[in-house]
Amino acid sequence: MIFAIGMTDYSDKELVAIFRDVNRQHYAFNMIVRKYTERMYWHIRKLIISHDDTDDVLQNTFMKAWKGLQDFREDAQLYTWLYRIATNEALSFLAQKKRKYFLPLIDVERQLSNTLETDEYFSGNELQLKLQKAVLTLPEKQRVVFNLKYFEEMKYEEMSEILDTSVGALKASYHHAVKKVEKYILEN
Amino acid sequence: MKIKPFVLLEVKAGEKTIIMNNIDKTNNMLEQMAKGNPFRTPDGYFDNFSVRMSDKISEVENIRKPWFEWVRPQITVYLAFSSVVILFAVGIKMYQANNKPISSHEFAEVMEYSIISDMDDSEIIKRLDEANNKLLLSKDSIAKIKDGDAKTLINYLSKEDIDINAIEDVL
Repeated sequence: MIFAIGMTDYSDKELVAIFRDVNRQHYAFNMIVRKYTERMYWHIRKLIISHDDTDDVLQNTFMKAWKGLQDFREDAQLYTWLYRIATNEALSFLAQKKRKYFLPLIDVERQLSNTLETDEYFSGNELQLKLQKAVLTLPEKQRVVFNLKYFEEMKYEEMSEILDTSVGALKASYHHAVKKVEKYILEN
Repeated sequence: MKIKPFVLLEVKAGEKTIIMNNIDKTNNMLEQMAKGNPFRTPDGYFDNFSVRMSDKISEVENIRKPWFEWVRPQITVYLAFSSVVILFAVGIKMYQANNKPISSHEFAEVMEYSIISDMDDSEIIKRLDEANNKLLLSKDSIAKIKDGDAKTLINYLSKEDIDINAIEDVL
């Protein structure tokens, strides 16, 4: 994966190598943030819906990455590792929200659905709104699988690394998710 | 098989908007839908994010770093330098101590110990008796010394091989 910043192109491995130099840590991490901000943002946003909450979770994600990058294994992929942190942070955020307000799962979905309708940073048409609402009816982990596969068109092998789940299980999960979403759209 | 394009028809019916489409429902509806991103962000959000993130990291690092973290590099250098100086000083001291010439008194002590340590008990007692006998002065000898006959005294001492210090002790 190559990303261009000014005149310099660095692969993930090169960025991690630069980060290992104590004097260039901030420089390397800044480039990692620039490289992955958008991908991580959209991944989190589709799970959390609200822009402000997404911003908080995104910052937490990169803070965790900053602290954990010292121990990052050379053989792992930087971007799947970041996805894993972002996913965990987003799911933890939703779990905290449930605990904080004593909300059952169904009410969290309803709340997220309402946020969609009132969010000033949502500009989708009616069908897109319906699709997002349909996705919100899925269980959280299935929602992650659906988003990664459907919107981000990620390979199952990469998803397997991020979610620590077998490819077969992910395929089955996605298949069920698609059926539920289609059913929701047709019925609503 | 050619995939049918997704067509969205919106028909206003009173307050409600009815969405109709001609999707072939048996042919994977979702794959025929446009996957556009309906979400937006505030203007310049992505441009500013990395700057905000850098500031946050610096802020957290400054808070998290205890005072000794700030002086640790200086302390490390100081301790390393001090250790070298101390080791050097100790080395020199030990070298000097090992090369110091032994005094005649220390030599005598060592020799005495080495001689005595080679003797058995009976030998040591015998030697002590001989030494004691040498120190014993007869009454006659003492009377001669008190008379102050220096020549006689010196001759006597030379003859009898008597230590002058032993005489002082007796007197």
